[in-house]
Amino acid sequence: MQRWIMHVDMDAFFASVEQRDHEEYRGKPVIVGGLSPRGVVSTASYEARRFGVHSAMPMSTARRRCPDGIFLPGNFALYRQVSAQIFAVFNRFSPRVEPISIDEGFLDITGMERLMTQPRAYAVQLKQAIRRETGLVASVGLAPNKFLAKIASDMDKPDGLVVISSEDVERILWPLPVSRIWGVGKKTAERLSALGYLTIGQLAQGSLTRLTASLGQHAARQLMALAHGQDDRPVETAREAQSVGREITFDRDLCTDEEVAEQLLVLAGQVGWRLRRAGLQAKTIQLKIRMADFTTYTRRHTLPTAICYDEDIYVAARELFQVFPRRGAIRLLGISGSGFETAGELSLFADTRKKEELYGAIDGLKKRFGEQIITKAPLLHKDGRGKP
Amino acid sequence: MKFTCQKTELVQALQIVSKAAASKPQMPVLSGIYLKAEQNQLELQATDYEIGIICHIEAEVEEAGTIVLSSRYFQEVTRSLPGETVSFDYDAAAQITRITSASANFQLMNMPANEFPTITQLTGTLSFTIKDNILKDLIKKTAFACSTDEARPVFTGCLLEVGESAVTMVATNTHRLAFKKENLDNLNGSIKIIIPARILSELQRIMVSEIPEEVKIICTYNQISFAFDNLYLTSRLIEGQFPDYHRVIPTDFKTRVTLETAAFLAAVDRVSLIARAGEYNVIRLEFGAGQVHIFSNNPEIGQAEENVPAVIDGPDVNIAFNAKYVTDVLKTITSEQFYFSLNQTLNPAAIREMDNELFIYIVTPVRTAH
Repeated sequence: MQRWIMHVDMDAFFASVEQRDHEEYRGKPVIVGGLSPRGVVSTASYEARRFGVHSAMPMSTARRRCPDGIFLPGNFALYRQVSAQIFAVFNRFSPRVEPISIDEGFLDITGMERLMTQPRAYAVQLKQAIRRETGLVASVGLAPNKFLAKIASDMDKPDGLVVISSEDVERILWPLPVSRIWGVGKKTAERLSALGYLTIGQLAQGSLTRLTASLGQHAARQLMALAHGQDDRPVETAREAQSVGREITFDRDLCTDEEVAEQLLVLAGQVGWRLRRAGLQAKTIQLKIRMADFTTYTRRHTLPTAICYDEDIYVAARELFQVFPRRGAIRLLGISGSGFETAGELSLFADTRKKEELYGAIDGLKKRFGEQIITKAPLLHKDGRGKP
Repeated sequence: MKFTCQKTELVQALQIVSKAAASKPQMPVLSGIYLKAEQNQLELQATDYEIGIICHIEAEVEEAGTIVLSSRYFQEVTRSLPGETVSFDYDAAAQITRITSASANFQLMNMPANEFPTITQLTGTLSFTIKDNILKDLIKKTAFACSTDEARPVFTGCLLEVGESAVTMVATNTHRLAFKKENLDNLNGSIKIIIPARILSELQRIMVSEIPEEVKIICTYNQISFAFDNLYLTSRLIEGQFPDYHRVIPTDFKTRVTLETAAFLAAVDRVSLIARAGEYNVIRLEFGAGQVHIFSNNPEIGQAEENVPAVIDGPDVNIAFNAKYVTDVLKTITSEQFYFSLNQTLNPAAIREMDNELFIYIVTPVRTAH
């Protein structure tokens, strides 16, 4: 059966909410994001985008490019509330909704022919419903699969509605650069360009053998299928968290291993608490390091047994850092755990029982008085708490 | 080389020896079986450098000599032969061995016999003998508890301790531990070695004699050999420090449950059908009110539950285990009833046979919700 998938993406979501609620912002460049010197742009209104401001850009760059913009820290509680309204609309239009982010989702409308005369008209109804109920504008892509639907929603922003059918793949998809394929980041794009594949069309007509040699069999097959507009991933309704992580961008770059160790201890404590609160243990610990020049590295290690205690996470992250060859000023550190296990085998030889009791007490305090109530001695002087 | 022997004897010998032939040989000749015929005896050898097995059978030797034949074809051919006896005739010029039995004729290509690393029998100062039925019982009650994870080699073998008056074998994969002791006289030894589970399970398989016989064991610092009957087995030992197992055997349990072995094993086996899909094969056990409630649940498959009568001495306990860790040990228990000793939900539990203080099995529970 022919599938019909809708990808709905709110246009400049945070900025649009601000403009909707503040008449004085309308028609003006609005930029929402972290306002500290090292903050990052979350959303820029279309007016701001004309100045070359876009999301994920350092706030300092945004201020330079658009000095007269309206810079806002954002009201995330409000955005979540609006998001809930939007997803309520999604859920009325399809029984299968996959949330991707606060303002974006996939809707599987396959087999709903009785409710809709034509998929396109159904998408129009959805857009109208969102506008009527939230006063906001969405762009919709409609296609036989998730990949094409996502491409489609992006083609005519803002307020777009694009339908891509299987016959349109060559005409619409092939002229696009390979970077438009989901999962093709900078590095993969470079490799593809080295093979002479700049557009999706070139990739689709390229050699699977060469691609396999460069990217490995799994990635090569997947890319080839996507380049031909094929994607059979289902719309997954309730997606469980795949990882639990925390990262910190530092006000001042870290320069010494001691500073790094200290921050890893902070992060390990935060990640451990989140894991335990969710009743999870992680088998894989990932360390993310962003250098002052913005190059970003991730290193991961899969452990023989899943962990959830601060010091175990710290040790794993610390080891990853120790074997990380590059040294220099570090701008951001992150630790995340994945590969969850809810049940855990206990070891006869490791002394886990003491740890369990200790963390039972620590977590009890955190639950009652908040995460800051208890900290580790080496971190005491950092936040001014607990000084004698 | 030219000899004739009984087909059934040769088939049996090959079945035993071929277990040591390498499946992924470092060099081709290690995938072969070495044959040496002399003085009315045929010697068969195979080794993959980890373990080695030698077996002797009777043969009518017309012309002495040595050959190596591919283990796989040699075995398949011999097993299918029609006659009661088999004749071998090696043609050195053609590097071919002719195998004749009744109406059947085979010619098998030879492997170079001079390249085969023949097994040298160990000579060591540390040696002792043990009855094969006792050794077999030690292995049967412990080796199953070993780990198969090569990342931690010490757990892929059994610890053998020989003292003044007792032999002890211990195996663990860190989540469960099996301990078996035998009191023996005149052992005069002090040995503490880790023997790979692989050679022990081979031993267990081939020690089939009805009448107990002596097994002669010789150890060096890195090898061990077992000699009995017409067989000689040797293996590398596992190097490393076996953890202090005394520490993890609890001395005290608050609750002692007595259960019918067969009934409980059958119930756990059934309930675990549902648990098997999960990573830890989790079954929950609720001990209370004169019974144990066995329960498993998999949101994607369904659930199962069963009650088995139990004599519970002490407070009620709810606990979860990897079902395999429970059934594995129950399959080795010979007494009609057994003891399940428990403390609390996250404390290790013990399984013991009725009237047998020389065996104990410790198993850690599975944590199901933090």
